[in-house]
Amino acid sequence: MTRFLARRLLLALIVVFLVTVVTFVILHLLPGGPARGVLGVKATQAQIDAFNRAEGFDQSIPLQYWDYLVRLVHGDLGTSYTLNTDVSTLLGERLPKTLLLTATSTLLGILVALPLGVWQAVRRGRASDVVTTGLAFVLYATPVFFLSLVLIILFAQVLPIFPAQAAQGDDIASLLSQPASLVLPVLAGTGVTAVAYSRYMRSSTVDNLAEDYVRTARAKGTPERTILWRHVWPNSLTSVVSMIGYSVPVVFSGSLVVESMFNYPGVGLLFWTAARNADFPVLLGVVLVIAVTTVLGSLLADVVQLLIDPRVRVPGVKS
Amino acid sequence: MTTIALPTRFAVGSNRLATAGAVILGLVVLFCLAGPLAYHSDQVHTALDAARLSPGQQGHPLGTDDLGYDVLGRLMVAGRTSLAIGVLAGLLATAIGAVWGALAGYAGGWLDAVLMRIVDTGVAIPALFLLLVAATLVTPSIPVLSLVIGGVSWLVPARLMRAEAATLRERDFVKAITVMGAGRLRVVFGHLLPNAVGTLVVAGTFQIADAILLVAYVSFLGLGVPPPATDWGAMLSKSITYTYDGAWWLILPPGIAIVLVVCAINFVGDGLRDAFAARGRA
Amino acid sequence: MSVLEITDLRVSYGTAVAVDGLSVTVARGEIVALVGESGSGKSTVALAALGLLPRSAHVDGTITVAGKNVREATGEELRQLRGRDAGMVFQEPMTALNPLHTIEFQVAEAIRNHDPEPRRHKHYRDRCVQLLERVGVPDASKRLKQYPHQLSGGLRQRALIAIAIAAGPGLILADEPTTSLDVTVQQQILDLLRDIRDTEGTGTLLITHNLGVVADIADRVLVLRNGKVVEEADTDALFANPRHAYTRQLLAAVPRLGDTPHDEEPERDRTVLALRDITVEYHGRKVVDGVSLSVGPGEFVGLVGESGSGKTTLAQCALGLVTPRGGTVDVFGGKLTHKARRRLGVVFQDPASSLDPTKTVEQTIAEPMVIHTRTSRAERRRRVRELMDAVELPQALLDRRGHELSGGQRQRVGLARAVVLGPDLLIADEPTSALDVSVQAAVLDVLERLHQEFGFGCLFISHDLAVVDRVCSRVAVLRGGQLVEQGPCATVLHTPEHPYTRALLLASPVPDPAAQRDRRRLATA
Repeated sequence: MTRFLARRLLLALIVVFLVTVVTFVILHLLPGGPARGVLGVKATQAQIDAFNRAEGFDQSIPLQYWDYLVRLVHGDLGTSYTLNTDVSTLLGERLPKTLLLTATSTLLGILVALPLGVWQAVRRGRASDVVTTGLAFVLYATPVFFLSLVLIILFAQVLPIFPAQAAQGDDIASLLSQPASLVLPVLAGTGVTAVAYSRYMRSSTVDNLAEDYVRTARAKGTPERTILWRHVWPNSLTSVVSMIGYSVPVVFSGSLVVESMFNYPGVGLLFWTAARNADFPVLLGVVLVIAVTTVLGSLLADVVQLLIDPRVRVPGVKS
Repeated sequence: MTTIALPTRFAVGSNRLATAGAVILGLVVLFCLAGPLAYHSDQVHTALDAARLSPGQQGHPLGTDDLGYDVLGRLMVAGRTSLAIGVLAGLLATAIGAVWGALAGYAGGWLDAVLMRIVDTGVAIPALFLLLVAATLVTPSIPVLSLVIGGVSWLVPARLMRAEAATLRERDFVKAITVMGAGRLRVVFGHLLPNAVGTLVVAGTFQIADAILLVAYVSFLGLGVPPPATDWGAMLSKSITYTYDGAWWLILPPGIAIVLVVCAINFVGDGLRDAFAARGRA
Repeated sequence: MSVLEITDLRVSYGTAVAVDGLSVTVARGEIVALVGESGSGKSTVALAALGLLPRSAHVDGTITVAGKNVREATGEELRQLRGRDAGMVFQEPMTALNPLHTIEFQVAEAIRNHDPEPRRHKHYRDRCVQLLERVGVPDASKRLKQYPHQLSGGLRQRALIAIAIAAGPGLILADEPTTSLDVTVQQQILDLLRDIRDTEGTGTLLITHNLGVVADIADRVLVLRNGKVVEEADTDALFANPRHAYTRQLLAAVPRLGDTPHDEEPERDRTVLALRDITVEYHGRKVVDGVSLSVGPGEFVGLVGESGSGKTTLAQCALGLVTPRGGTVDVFGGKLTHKARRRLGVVFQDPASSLDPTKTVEQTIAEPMVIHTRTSRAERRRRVRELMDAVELPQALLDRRGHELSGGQRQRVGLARAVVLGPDLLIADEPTSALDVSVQAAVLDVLERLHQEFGFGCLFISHDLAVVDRVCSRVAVLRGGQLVEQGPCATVLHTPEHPYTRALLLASPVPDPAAQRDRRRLATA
């Protein structure tokens, strides 16, 4: 078990390391390097040289990478070219808001999707399953920005129940002070997760219902309800849990779009403005945050797997 | 924007659904390719004097957009771009993924580990970021966008193919022919890939659906093909500004077109997967 | 009084008929065997008895368990009947148990399901311990806390039997309960089932393909073929005097020790395969430990052992699929080069995965020729046709693909592919274990004829001593990665020196009830 965890941790570190290599390479791949990106195409060579000296970009590439790593380890993600603020400060401000959005919609997605998936699996092939599965099909094929637009048209315009814009402000309290403004962004985010999770839960439950152990449980007189919730449910969950852990990139990408649609002041919106202004320190900071969260998500999935599945937790018989 | 690769996506009466999907797909392709022959509209010159007409006005069945382009005609032109990029990028992603995954799965050991850590890294970096970077380096066009989108979305098929290859490698017929002297190329191209065709065809259809969504996202971020060319995603993103003006004819048609096509392709992919699974059982 | 009474049972799936007019009764204290080959519909009967068939099955006839009509029972009545009036034991104890729950949970649940006042699982702990002790699980209280994957196959099957008898049913339905187990473990499980019958008076419907098992334990036998009962008789009568031709054919197909006379084997000074002092480790555990073994030209050497004995690993060393940690592998007096592989043929166990499903029979058999020779297409075609004759397959199958063939046909194609280049060494890993007895007999015939024609040396791996006795001249016995005994079959399999070989021989049931009674007496003595 310790070995399993140590191995997973090592793999996670390797992936994070590779991500820093890729982001560093990308920074240098840009035409004229980061200097052009900041100073614009009209900058003179002298300006560029001065910028490179100031930023340490005149050193050898490995040395620069080493510098970059050392600064990263110290939590220094550089300074925004356009906002003149520490990237780490910016992220510190924005990240809690994005986490509020993503965590809420992921949680809601799980709460809706898992029971729905089981329900569909049990009623497989009946009208109620076909209809809900058909709806899931449509929702699955709907891009998040179109879903957001439809939500805005329906609930902010045709039936003006909720505001189409998220509350602005520096901290999370200002967002929470207007809960109505959170409804539509959270709903859009939930749409993304719930569809994927429910599809997975449905197929996992269908597969497990056909397993031999279900037949055994039935043969010893176990009530159908107990078979479903004490036998099938935990088994279906083991695979769905890892899938949820591995869905972090999907959730984040979704929130990138949702935030820009609802003007929600999180990391996604930050990424979006930075992209328009070629503010690469900010972009790289956001990418690193997403990458680390993705890796953490899969690590967490493995740990949860370890906790709920005795086959991973306890060594088996040697054969 | 990657979508999650579900091992079993949707599995409800997939035979009839697959047929329905194929029919819808055929109609949409016909609409985009042959439509402009029957329905003429100027999709090159702007007509600011006839901008934002609502449906039915001045002989525009679906109205016009903010530059005066006829929306129905634009839907056809845009569909060509979306479908072309979707198909090209989807095929490219599947091809790269197939080779990458087959190599990793068949080789095993350290090569497998290295190749799959690269895939993990790719998954951890948001595809949108890579697309942004690519946009600063190249000018978008259909081939370029296909290349870029295909280049960032091969990770899922690579994982699928790796799993498939790793399973096939342990099958007795592969072992038997290896023992009797078959070389690596013969095993990979003669036995592994032909046996993975089912997985790859299915992955390919889903990949095309995902690529069409990805084109939409790219255009939504303003990184799509330059005007007067357009695609469904670009049509949508342009019309966001007019959400509050009640200009629904600018938003719903391209949105519905995307949903319809992606849905139809997923139907077909589902049917194909079931068909291949049935063949494997027989 | 009968605990199970089935009259004129018919089960069909669409147009396919699985069971066709079967009637059977099981009385208290009686063990009735339902014997048949794959596709005979025997498992369907057990599932139908408890109303466990999928909804797609169309069922006709009457089924009465403990006086209750199963087909007319409501859901709740059926639930109460399952476990309390009849317990069920399945073939695969690993998949039949829920991997996420402890043994205690799964045994306690079986008691709790029929407790009029269900209480928390831990309330039943003492009873669980008793049950596990009853079925012979050592350290029962310790095992309670363990998960299925922590138990050996034999212990899992015992736990499954504990579940089946937990609510004290008058009937046990045992569907191939020993098929996935080693012979020594099989013997213990059969003894346990007999003991439960003797002490509790339980009636048992035993479903099996193994006539040795039938001879060992059954009081009465029904022989099934294509869903129909072809013969029903008391066990002694059936084996002594089989009336139906199919029964006689089945009995004749079962290989028996001593059926084949062994000639004096000549001393050989050359080898086609020489394994010297082979050691293989997985995760620091020795799975093969210093084994030396050789095969001479034209010699048929058997390698026997139970699961985990290392016999397959040893074969994989010879094939170059596993690199041993210590020792040397010598093929045709040297390393296994590409050139040497031309003279090497191989057949594996699983007919389902032995052929590439995307290739035709002709392509499959011809592939070694394509790899190693520059023959023309016409020459290859001619050679493939010759081999189809040699393995007794009709030419009409040449364009079929693997999934269109039966298991026996697939193994024949595998054999044809293995000998297409006229090999000097054939390595066969359990080539007939997954086949029905009658098919096994035919495939072994083909193998022997090919051996006479091509004169290859053969390393033949099997768990079945009688099969080895039939085809091999020399045999090596493996246990826990070590060589226990080796020598001519005539000696090792008839006057064994090592106690383990003796135990193996004694545990392999023979299709003769009288002989089985003698052996049981010998074993208990």
